[in-house]
Amino acid sequence: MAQIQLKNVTFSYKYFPSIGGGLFKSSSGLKSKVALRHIDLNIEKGDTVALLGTNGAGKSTLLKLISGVFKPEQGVVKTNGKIYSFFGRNVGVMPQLSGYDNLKVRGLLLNLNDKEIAEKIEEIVEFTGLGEDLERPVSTYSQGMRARLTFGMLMFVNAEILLVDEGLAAGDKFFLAKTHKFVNDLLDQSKILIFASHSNELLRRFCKKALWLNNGEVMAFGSFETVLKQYNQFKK
Amino acid sequence: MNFLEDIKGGLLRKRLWIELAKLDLKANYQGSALGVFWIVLALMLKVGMLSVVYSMVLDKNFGDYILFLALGILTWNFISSIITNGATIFRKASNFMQQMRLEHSTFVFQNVYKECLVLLMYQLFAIPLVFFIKGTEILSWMWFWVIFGYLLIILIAFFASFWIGWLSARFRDIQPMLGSLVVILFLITPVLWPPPEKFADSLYFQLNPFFHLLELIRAPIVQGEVPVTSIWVAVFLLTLNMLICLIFYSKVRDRLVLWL
Repeated sequence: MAQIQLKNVTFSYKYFPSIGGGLFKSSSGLKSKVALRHIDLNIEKGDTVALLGTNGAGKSTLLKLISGVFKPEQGVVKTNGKIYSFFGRNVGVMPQLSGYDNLKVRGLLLNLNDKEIAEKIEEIVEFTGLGEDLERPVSTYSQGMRARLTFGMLMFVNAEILLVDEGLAAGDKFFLAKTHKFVNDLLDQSKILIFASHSNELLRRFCKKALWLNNGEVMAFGSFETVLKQYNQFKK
Repeated sequence: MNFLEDIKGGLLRKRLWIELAKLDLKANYQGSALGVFWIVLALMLKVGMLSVVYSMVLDKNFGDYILFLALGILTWNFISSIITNGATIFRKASNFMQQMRLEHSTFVFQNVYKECLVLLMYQLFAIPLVFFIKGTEILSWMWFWVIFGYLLIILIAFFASFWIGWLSARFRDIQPMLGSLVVILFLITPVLWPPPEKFADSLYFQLNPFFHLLELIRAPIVQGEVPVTSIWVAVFLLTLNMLICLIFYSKVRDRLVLWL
């Protein structure tokens, strides 16, 4: 049964503030910033949760903590169910490689066998309509084609928990309708979706609940429309 | 997860790193007519030109010198690539490591496997050259020691790649420093020139670990000798690199992704 639990989770990320620095100054060069503070959260099977918050609110960090990419400094993150994470529109896409190679690498990353990868790619070619363009390097793609390829990568999903950071905005209206149907079919009652995006329209399409983060703290968690209303009032 | 589990997990992702290594290699020669054959051609040109000049400068027999140089350069190329590319292993893998929790060894395997493919391609030039210069007399048990030498060098490269990658991700000065260091090491290590006989046993050469790594391959083929001292030095280096990884893995395991 898919489930996510966070108990008193605090996390700070590290970053190099500038291109300067030196071997002996690097310890001070690596800065630290608290991204999430004392987060308690319980997400059950079938929940589709929109992450709301301004830039730097902690949305991406929260997704990375749930996916296991980051380990919390304090507190516990417990997940039950296979996780598929998809962070950023271009993350994981290697522009020098062809669309086909990118899709193959994605399948290998998920430990799928060759037959499964070939079947999935066939499905993705049909769905995205990229056809022979998949043979070309991704660096030659238009923005719309890149968006379609990125969505194609998302189609490899074979997990109970789906974590998406800015990845479902896929090109024109016609394609967007297709992606909407695909994601809805995917999210049966046993799956969890946590989706971070700045597009309220997209969030409304896919999510029934919302979690509002501000400065690394949970401001509200509940039904999508209620929390969105609170968030919009706060922004004013 | 401990270091050994990381390696085990990395091995299970064999298909991924083999594919990434092949794509990485091909991407370097994208659009070129000769493709990856440039790897062999570049070595042949380098060894050919340097042999003509340095056999005269050092007053050496051309046949003996070209063999000495070819084996030295191809082994050095492997070592230097491991050092310089090792510095960017994890930073290049940042896209993947920021997506999901992956074993550090996945990307070390990728880099070492890629360099092994290059090393194998070098043999397309080296093996015929050895037979051309040495004839069939070279067909002896010495090959066992050459293969054993390569195995030791590859294992050292594997473990050294971890800590070079960690250190370079954490301290951004390490990568440019290693770039300069490799050039200096090339000039002070007997790659282009054999150690002068009267200084062969001097501490200057004996304390240079890279000299011993080159000797693992050169001594059995060029001198027909088993490089006993160099084998012990290589075993020591292997143990040292393994220990560094075992000690530091738990400290960097969760932090590495924050430094990328």
